[in-house]
Amino acid sequence: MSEQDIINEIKRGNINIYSKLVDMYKNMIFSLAYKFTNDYDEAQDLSQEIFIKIFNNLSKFRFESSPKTWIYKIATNMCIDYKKKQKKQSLNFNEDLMEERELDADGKINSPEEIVISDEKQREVHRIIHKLPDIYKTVIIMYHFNESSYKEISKILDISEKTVETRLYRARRLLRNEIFKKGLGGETGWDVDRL
Amino acid sequence: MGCRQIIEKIDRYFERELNDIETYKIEKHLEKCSSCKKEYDEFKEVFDLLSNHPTVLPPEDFTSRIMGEITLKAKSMKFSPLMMKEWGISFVAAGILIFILNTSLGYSIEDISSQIHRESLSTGSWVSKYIKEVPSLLESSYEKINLQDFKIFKNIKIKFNK
Repeated sequence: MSEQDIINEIKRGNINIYSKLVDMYKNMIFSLAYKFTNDYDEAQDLSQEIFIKIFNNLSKFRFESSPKTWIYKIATNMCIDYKKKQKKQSLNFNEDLMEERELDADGKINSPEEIVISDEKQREVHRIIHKLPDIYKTVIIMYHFNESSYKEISKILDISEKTVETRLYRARRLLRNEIFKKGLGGETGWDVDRL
Repeated sequence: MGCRQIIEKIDRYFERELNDIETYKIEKHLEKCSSCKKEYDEFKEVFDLLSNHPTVLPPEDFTSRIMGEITLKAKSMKFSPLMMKEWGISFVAAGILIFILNTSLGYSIEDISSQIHRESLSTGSWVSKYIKEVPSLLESSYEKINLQDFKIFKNIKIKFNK
């Protein structure tokens, strides 16, 4: 059954078939949500909200773009909105105090991603990506982890393919700088002017 | 191809988007330029780290939890999205009809409803006028009946076979 058939069937009222669409996109959306939240539980909540919004908006979907583009567009916008909300909330908190909460009794950093990403180097890559500015983080996730083409990314983000190329170019240099110049770890401070 | 062009195209090189000639030129350049080779090695590391980055998977019951949530909402609403749309259209159509009746035709809803009420009363009195004759009609024997004496048959011509 194609995505189009599934969507049409849901529109006819067969909501149980929506589980097929969730299965198709859950890994892609969850990994996107996890990169934005950096928290496994919050990623679950956020991706659940994304899937409910997709379901609620299915009746408006007219196949003007591919289902993948449409679904990913909703997911990306919701992740960016989540970050904006988080930023507003975190203005009231002292970042150092939040870091302190993550220390366990032995004084070791008890990071949440340690449970889900076992390799230390890859955990650092995840942290670096998580801290990237949203415009760069989004293209890195789409291109490298979800195998979206320049064309697909440009449609999802409403930007030109040239802009996609430029953002990827800059994002990779930011990553390179973090990995090689500052080393793996430590506080990340982005210097976009150095690109 | 100069060093600047090499560095500008290194991303497309790793993306395998360059043609054979450009790829050959870059590889030839890297063999003799140590600073570009250093850049190349660093970007290779970045691309390798990204391509080997593990995908964090959702929990096994992820789909069933979402479906539970959706089924619950659907039950409470008892409408599918399509039905909601159709109901919405019907309500809008009804609204437009009421608006037209209320304004465009020069009648108010009150005028229309009172007119309907009056019409139903006059129909009732018209029917009851003829109903009054039914008892006397039933009392008369068949031979004696002159149908033309009754108002109800006044305008009806009946031809009897003799």
